[in-house]
Amino acid sequence: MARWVYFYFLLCWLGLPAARAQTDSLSGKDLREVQVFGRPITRYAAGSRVTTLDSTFLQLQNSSTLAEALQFRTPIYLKSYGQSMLATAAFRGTSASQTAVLWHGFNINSPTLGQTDFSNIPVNGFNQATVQHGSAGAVYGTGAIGGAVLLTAAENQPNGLQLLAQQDFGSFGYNYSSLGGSYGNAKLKLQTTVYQQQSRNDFPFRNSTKFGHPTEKQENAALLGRGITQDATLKINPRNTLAFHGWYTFSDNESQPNMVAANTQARLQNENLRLMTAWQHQSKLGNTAVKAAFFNDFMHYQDVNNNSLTEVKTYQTQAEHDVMLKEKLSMKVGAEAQYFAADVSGYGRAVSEKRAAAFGWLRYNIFSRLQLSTNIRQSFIKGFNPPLAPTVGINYYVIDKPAGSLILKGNISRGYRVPTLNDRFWPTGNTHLIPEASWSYEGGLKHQLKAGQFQLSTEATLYHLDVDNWIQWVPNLTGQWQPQNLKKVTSRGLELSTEASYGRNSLKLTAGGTYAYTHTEQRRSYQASGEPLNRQLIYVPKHTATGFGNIYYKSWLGSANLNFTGYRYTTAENDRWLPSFALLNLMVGKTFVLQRYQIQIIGKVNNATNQVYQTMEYYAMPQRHYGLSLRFKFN
Amino acid sequence: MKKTQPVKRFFLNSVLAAAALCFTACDPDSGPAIPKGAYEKGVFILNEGNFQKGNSTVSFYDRDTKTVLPDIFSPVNSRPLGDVAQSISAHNDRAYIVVNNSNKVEVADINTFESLGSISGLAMPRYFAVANNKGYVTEWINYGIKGRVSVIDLSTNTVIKTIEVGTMPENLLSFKNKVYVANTSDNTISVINAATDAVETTITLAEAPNSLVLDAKDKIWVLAGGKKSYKPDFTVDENKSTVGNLIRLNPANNAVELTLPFASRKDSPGQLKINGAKNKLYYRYAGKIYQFDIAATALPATALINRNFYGLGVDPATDMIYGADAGFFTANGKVIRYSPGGAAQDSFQVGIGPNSFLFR
Repeated sequence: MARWVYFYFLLCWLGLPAARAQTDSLSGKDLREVQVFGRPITRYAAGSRVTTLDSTFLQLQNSSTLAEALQFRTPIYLKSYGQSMLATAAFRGTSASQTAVLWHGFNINSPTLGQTDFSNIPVNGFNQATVQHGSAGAVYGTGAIGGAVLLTAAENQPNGLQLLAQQDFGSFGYNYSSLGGSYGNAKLKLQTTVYQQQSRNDFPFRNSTKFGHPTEKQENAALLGRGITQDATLKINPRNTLAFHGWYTFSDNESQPNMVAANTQARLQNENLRLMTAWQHQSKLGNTAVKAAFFNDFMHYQDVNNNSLTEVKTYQTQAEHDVMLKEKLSMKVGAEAQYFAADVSGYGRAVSEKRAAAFGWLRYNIFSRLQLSTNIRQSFIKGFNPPLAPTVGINYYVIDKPAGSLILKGNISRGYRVPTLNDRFWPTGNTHLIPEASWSYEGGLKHQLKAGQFQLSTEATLYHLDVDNWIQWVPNLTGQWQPQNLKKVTSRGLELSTEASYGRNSLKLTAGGTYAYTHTEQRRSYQASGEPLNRQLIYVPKHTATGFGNIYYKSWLGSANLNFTGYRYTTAENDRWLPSFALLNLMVGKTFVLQRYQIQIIGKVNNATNQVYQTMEYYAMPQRHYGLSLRFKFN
Repeated sequence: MKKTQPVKRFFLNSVLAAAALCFTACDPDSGPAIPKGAYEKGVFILNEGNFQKGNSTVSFYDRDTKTVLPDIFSPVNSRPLGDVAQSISAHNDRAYIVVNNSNKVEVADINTFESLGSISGLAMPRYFAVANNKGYVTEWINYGIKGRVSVIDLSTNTVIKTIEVGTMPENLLSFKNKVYVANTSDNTISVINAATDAVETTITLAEAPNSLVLDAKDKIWVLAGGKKSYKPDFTVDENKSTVGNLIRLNPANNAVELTLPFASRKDSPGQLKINGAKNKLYYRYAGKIYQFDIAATALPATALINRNFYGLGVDPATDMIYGADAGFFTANGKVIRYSPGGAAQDSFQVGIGPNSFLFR
């Protein structure tokens, strides 16, 4: 049996045309120690694919953005409008607003744009990042059609006092400074980080759009950002816990013009304040959590012709109760309410909106090898209600032994996306829009192996995703742009991932990789858009892959991260495309320890192979560049 | 290579010259045609592309073979044309393409489309014309402020002078060493004297002149869109808007000879074109295409073509009407050809956002 499984795994891995690979794939239960969770977020998400960004990686990359972290560890394609510029996601072939980003369970996608700028989320703002693939994330609410990214602060924080100071330097005037500290005892845990980041970002590039392809210095791309995060958890008594999380980020970035358009001195200012507090109560009746959050999202875009101000205040509350009905049956029920108050210069009036939702999650271990979860969620919005969003998933342990396991997974889920405030309240908005809705089907195999100090976790997933009533802004007869429920899109693909680790004495090795095949096309058009059917959507790479290797030996560390992105069509007819590229980032570091003091020096080479590439056409990206990180730690 | 002997060469040259003489004698119209390039005869379609995407293209249509080349600039020049190409014109075997959001005019050999340079230093440029062997480019500079016309030295492709005109200058027309500029956010035409490169006169006619053509009787027809005021939801506020007008201007004395008002305050007429004989005007109004005889004294009540087009062209060689359908700008646009009588003939696909035509 074991041998058969092994060969089967090989077949899947090599992508050989094994017919049965349709529903099979391999990957691991969380073997890595970095994946420790208080309560796994996947508890009610049986059968869906979940990727956890390992915390060592996030720590090494703490001065970068979530865009870069996702780019090197997940198959998500980040559409970046220049170096460290606006970056939106294409997850399983879906649009920028079809990936939900949640922070401590609250959606932080911009309510006006419906999307997250991943370049505006610094990695230092969270400790854990989990990516849920597909519409199964719809249990968290709107926008999780292609997937969801879940961010939280650390739950397992060490006791005692810890102080951190960090100073990074890099090419093109890059400068990053941060100060942090944490304190913990049996009752109280505190964690604070303050940072500031600056870059001239005036990298040289060859302007392939100009006569003679001259080398130019990038103009109007300077960056400035600062922020603070504060986390506090107070265990009042064994039954009651209070938590507070505060996250403030400010950025004032010039917007890199593309090579071919005029520099309009565009700049984008963002100020995001996110506050949330939670009370958790444990009793014989189960766990109760009540959470409240306040967000203030401010955005100011300006160029020589435009000046646009957006400010949205979001007030929201969630209450949920988690109960073990029987030994093998647990259930979670909850409700949430949101209130948005938007002050957007383009609307010409103040706009507010109330939304509510109720959900029930059920997990049933039918027998020891079979886990079933069914979830249901209904949102309520005045004027229109999004579709009921059910999810059903199973995990079946084909093999379940301490030395290894093989899990058969399957998940069917319905996702939805409420039209954004801009879609409806912009002067040319469309109040007749209906929510986008998706059906996602996925199946896979996850394999885990543990032999001594060696661990291996591999997963393969096949999915089929239908997205209907896809919203897009198109010009109407009088030439004004208006959003429409324009099309139906089908995305199909394969996702493979593997990760291995080995540790012995003072040596620790980890390595892994991902591969994704994404085939996304428009199946129906509800208007004569002229966009041809059954062609790969623009800016969706058919092939993406990542790879990484880390070595820790005594006080030394070495790390390599690779991203490969296949060609992306730039026209609906698929007659033009951007060439594929591979990015390699390398790091070498050494740690000096003197009693309770620790100093770490890390040198970085980004884009080590000097690749010329673009993720959005004509937006220059830098070639090889360098960084140095000095980190001081006291504990 | 082997060199020809002087005597031999003389003999050869004599024979060739004699033959040439004979051929030209037989063919009084022109000498033997030596092709200057692939685009000597045909229709250029300018596709503006998407804002900030840098995907403007020029497509070429061969009338005889009915074949289309989707993009003739970038393959030969190894670079894209630019961001939002606004207009294309020809002068002395050169194509001048005004690329609005790249703030430049691309100059190419019109027969081969090889780049001959690029005119920079412009701000929101719109249209190009030639007078007194100099180029004139209208520029908005920005919204709501006085625009300008830059004068171009065509041998060096540089700006030699700028002339302030009205607000948002659009189309311009060169006639008898004068340049007539339609100030589309005003109600005026600025007349520039191409000898002094100064504004000689400003003619007040009607709100929002956008395009102008010269007819067979040397009269200038101006199409004015009317002033539009918008409600907060960007629909036209008819109470605060004015109607469009078709105006006949006599360039000999700058007198407005005829003003024909349109009925609707909501719709703006635009895209004024003229046929090969220069006696029939064409324009777009309320989502339809109309034809107007220059001898007429009233606007036509019925449309020639019941379809809206983003760009309009009339082939002077055949009087066929070319309509450019840009769709939703997410995919390639298409061109539909109509007979002079307005019957649809055929169609072909071009680049993204086709907005205008140049006929050769």
